[in-house]
Amino acid sequence: MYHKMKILKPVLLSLVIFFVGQWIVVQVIDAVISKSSFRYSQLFSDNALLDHKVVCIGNSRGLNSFYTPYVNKTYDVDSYNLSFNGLRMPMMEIFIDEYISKNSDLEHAFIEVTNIIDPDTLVRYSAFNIYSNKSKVIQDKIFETDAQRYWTTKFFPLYRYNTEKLFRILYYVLKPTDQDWINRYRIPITLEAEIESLEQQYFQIHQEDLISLSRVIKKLENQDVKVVLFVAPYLPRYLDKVSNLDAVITEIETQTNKAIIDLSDFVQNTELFADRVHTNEGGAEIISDTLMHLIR
Amino acid sequence: MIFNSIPFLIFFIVFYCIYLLVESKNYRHKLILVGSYFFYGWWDWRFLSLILFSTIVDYILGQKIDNESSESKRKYFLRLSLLSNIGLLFVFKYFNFFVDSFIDIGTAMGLSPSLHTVQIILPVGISFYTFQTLSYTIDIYWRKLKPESDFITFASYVSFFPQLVAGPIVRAVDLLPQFSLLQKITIEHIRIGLSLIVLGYFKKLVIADSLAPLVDDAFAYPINYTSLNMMLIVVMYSIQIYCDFSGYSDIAIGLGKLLGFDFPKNFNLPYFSRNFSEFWKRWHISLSSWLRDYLYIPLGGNRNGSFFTHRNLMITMLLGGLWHGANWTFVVWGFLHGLYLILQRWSKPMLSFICRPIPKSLVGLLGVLLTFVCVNFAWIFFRSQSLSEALMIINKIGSLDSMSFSGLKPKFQLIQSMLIVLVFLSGELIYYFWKENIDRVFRDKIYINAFVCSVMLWMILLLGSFSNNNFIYFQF
Repeated sequence: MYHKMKILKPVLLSLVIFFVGQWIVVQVIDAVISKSSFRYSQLFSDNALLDHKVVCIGNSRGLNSFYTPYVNKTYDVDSYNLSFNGLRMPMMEIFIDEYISKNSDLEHAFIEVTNIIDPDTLVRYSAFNIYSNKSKVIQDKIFETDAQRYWTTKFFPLYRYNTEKLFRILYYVLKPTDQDWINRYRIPITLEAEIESLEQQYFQIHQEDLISLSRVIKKLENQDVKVVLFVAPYLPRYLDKVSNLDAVITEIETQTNKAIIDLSDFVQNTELFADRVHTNEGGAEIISDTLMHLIR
Repeated sequence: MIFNSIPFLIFFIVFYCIYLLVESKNYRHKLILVGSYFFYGWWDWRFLSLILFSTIVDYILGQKIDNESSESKRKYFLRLSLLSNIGLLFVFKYFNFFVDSFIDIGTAMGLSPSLHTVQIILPVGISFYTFQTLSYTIDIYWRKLKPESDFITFASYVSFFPQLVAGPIVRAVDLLPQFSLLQKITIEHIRIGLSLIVLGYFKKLVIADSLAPLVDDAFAYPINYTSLNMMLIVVMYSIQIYCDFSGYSDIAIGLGKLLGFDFPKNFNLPYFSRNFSEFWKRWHISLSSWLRDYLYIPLGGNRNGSFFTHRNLMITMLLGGLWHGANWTFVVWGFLHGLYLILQRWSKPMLSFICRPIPKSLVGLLGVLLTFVCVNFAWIFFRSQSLSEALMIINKIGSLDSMSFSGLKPKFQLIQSMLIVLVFLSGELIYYFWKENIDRVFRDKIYINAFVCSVMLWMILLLGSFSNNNFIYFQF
């Protein structure tokens, strides 16, 4: 008995150090995250000031199409880009719900719709586990789609911050805004050969995303927000490889009952692209101008 | 079953609880045997037959060698053991490699050999347990060890799950005597065992697996990387493989400790080696000492002049390279290490003369740097899928096309990797200089040990990669 107690005491002490320490680290990280100007930290911050008039929504193509520092300066308007890399529509819907509940000043929303043909087959709610303590909806979705992560987070809350986003968030603690984040490079020399070797591309629509898009439009319009759907440009050589973009656009228009501004072939100068599906800051300025003229 | 998976954690917790409750030596051996076969069978139960075959053959041959008084018959039984163990290894690991190489050579000579390869799955850990059983029969032949009379005990030794699939290679002479005792588990066993397990998981999940995506991408598409980036990637790989393998060894040694067993150390800060022979005394110690004792010394070691010493070194390193895998890249890797060792021996008198006026500490530092660079160069072959891929990477580095890190993407992953490399280097440096003090403080102040382990666990939760990546040495 004495021998067992001698073993048990340090084991219990170690567990106490681990769990108490974990709780302290979580509190520190949470406090730091709330100070970050990363877009979703702002969104879920308790004292966020969201009073933008124009918002852009989408995945990385939306992110690299609408350059808010340029728009704000040129058009003297308060705009915000809520897009993020690989963001599928159902995930974006959660962010939009949160956003419109906090911003009653919103007037216009640009939605880049090609995230509904994202090559990723799964909606990665787990990727935003870092905000699951701020959003019950995210927590529930993670429970439905990734129970292992859900339960691990319950027992070990520090695991919530196990994401590459933590570094972004920490980086933006030191910067006043994350809205100047955009592709600044030019297409690599190897890209042309890569595209040549590609087979013909067929885009697949995720029905779940299409339904979500319709809901998002309805929710925004119910708030008197004017919605503009658009397709951001593709590198012309890559666009030649895509067989069914027109059919995809038609289907989205039919399902949402809304016209789409097709800018897929709008930028012909390859200098304005960062890769085959993303414009760089130069391309983004041109698209931003085009979109802003539509609502002016 | 791999150590970094949920099924293993569940398996070990259940196994350990039962293990602690069983207080009879024989029942513990039976439990270890059942647990080890379950552990291995989780991957593919069909290959349990290979372990069983190897166990039965060496159990019988071990007895025969010991009982036989005639030297020729003893040698005959030993050869039978060597043949069956190396035969298994040859069929499952090297058959296709030799057939392919034979076809390539024949084709190059203008012949068209009509040999065919067959689809063979490489059984996990075959190289490790084969070497372990070989050491058993050879040691009995050399009369260094008495054969184990109890089959269950011997089978438990061969299949002992903590070190079954990727070492350390624990020789029978070191491990079997421990099986003859009932292991009393003390607080020291638990403290050291848990600390090593946490350290192992930290090395694997936080360091090795976080560096893996960058390294994998660079070796798959070297054209996208500048020469400076590629150099950095090779250094990252050397850290990745060290943390991956030494992490596995730490977990294995830690699990053994929790069960009351002592395994020998497998790594000892290898990248602080001042020369190549020191490197091999610090890297994968259980394999290098196995090769030294069962191959290099029987070949003659350094007893018959420099030519034969160099020949023996080269044969040992070439076979050591081939042990890792059936690919010419491993042969070249072994060749390079053989060459390094030969050059080191050959240049020793000259270097001693040249370095006489230079302070010893500076010579040591230069030695560490030179050894590290050469070891990194050899890793290029070890990591590449083919010789042409390795040459492409060497060409890329040698082209010195750009001395900028700017092309490395994605930025935040790179920041994370660089932070990890810094954490790794600081940890290794601290331990290198204050090893004894750290060990003493951990032993005497258990709460400091608990705090350091907690910090590692927090970092695992925060930065660890949980995608069930296999350990690199599983493929060997």
